[in-house]
Amino acid sequence: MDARLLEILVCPVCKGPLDYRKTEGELVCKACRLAYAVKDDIPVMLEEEARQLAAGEA
Amino acid sequence: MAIQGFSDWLETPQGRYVLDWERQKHDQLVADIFGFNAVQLGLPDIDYLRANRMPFRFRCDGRNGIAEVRSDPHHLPFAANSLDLVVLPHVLEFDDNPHQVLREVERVLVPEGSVVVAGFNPFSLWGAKRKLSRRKELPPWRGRYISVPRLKDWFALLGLEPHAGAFGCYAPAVTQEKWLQRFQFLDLAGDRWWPIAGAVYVIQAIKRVHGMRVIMPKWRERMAAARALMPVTQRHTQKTDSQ
Repeated sequence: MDARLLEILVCPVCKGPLDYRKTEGELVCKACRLAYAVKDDIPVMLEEEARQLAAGEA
Repeated sequence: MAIQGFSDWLETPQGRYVLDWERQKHDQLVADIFGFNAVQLGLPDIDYLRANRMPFRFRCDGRNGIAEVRSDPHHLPFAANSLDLVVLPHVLEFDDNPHQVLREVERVLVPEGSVVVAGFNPFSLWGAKRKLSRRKELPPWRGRYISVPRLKDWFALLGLEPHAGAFGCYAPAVTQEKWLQRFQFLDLAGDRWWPIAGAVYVIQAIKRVHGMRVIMPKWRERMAAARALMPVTQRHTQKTDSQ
């Protein structure tokens, strides 16, 4: 994924910073406890398609 | 955000007529807008930013397609003050909540950043056809057309200043290529005589933000005023007194 895009992406729900986890291919918002998938280098920034983080996951 | 069937409609002669005009106007407008990041919301099949010269241009759409980012225009995943140009081709009139889209666009734009909106004009032959027709399921007739004065009003509320714009496509909404050709003279006449009645408009607005104003220290001003008020004769007498 383009570094310039990663720089300006935020969580669409809380507009907070995102944590890019390259190995899992996910952008994680810790405040909302949501993980946005990155499919074929295309980040899917939709709340309804995001994965809810499990209780133990950080 | 996905405008059902709109891309297919753009393939028809009628759609091609609108698209050709729009692309020409967009090329003229966006070629001289500079900055770092530019985004096009919606219609990812058509590159409205092809003439733009910003280093990073990308498309954003709700559907799974060729767009670089998938997102909802009501909740854009971009940081505030991060984009220099946002292009909204026919997004507002086919959306349920155009105000929210504009609010989000205003948030993500940098101060002095531009938004370019393309839309159908309700005060035109096409707008009249839409008003009179009963069948409104097909793409160009389905949305709620937003007039330019109304759009400017929305812009004013958000601190966006209309900067440049154009109307075009004066031919009636005929579907056949040959009839569009026959009505070509209306495009020239329309631009000259009834420019506000074009079927399609493109408008650019700039986000204006009040900056800081540096104020000079007040004591300087007071000293200057006092000096100016002193009569010349008095100074003369003072001088003589001291001598």
